Amino acid sequence: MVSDRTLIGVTGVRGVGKTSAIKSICEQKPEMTAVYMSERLKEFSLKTTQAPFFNHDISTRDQIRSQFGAELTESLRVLSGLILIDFHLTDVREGAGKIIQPDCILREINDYLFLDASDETIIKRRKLGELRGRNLDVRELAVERNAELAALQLVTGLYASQLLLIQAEGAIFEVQTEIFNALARFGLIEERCQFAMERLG
Amino acid sequence: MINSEIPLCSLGVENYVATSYKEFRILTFLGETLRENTQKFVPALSLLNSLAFGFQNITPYEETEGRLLLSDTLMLATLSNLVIGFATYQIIDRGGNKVVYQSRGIVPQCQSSGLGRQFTLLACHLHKPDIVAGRAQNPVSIWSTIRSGVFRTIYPFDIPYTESEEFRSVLAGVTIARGHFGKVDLMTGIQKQAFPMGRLGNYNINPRHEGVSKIERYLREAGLNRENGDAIYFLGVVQNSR
Repeated sequence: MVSDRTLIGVTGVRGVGKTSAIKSICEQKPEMTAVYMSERLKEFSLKTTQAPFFNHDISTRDQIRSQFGAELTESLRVLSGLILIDFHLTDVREGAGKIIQPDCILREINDYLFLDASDETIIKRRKLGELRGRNLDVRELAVERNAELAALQLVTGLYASQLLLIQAEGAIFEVQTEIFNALARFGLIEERCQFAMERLG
Repeated sequence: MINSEIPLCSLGVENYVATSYKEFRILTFLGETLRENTQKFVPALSLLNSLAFGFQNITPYEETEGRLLLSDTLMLATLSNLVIGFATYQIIDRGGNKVVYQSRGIVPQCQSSGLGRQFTLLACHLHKPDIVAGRAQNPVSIWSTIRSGVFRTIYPFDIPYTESEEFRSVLAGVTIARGHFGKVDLMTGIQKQAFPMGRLGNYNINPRHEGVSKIERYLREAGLNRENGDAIYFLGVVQNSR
């Protein structure tokens, strides 16, 4: 493991399985830190405005995101090691071309992983999980995916960060293996696939 | 088997660019026109798709609509004012290579007319892609794509994906854009059960045809099961591209 702090942005459409994969990885590798942006943002909104984040209009949401971004950036400075940030760059409900994350966070992120699976699998996972406003229409899913990828392309270009694609079609331990292999490719961990082997016994 | 005709006037969309090819006309609908008129195209394209691939039932409207919403260009071929073929093109431009994903269908009576090649040539002229991507299970159709002269190299038939990390990455990008990421083996290009209806169309594979046989051999070795609805993603590198 590298000694300095490294931030890896983990993105993908809602319901692809990012949060489950990250939670599972961090349970197995406690030296890694996970930051779940949506949860943290919602908590921040309740704390600072006494109202749920999505009750606010879009302009207020942007202000909250900006304040939250500044606070989060500060709190990340004291951390070290490998930090996985579970987040989205876009929310098509606010416009497909809009990057919702504040610049102060994006400039801190070293590299990105984009998790994706087939439409069929994502829709199935959305149906199984909490819907939380997630769309079950394949056509909308394509719009979400395209928006996220276009934003990711822009951000990785702007901040000269790397992007690796992760197949999230399979079981959770397979997704973990893919993520571990990607982190090894970034030079952030040494062992490739060892994690999955441990899990498989 | 569905047997029906689609008069051009039934579409009610007039904003197109028309070109001629042999006795056919090819009408190209671009960007805004396509998006604004998606609903008008859906019934005709659903029927056309079923006619082209010999389905027992009309392709579900939602499936056709989904395909159209991903598309940046629609081409319709007409003969005597009847619509007899279509091609859709989705531009996948994420830096690096510019890819267009092509999906085509032509009614059986007008197949082997060179229309498929003409669609591709027009799309290359229009979008100037580096790579044209497609998905097929019919070696005869793949062979006609190869011999069209449009492409310099076709992955994985000329060069397997296993030999090029760059083209595996392009393939990954294409499958993401099509919503099939994770369903496609990036080493072979094979997607299992790509078509729920199984084998598409009635075509004969002539074992004595050298080109078709070579493709069929590759498909078999890569594990493609036609009756299971399997298909292969291929990438054609356009002549004179970067």
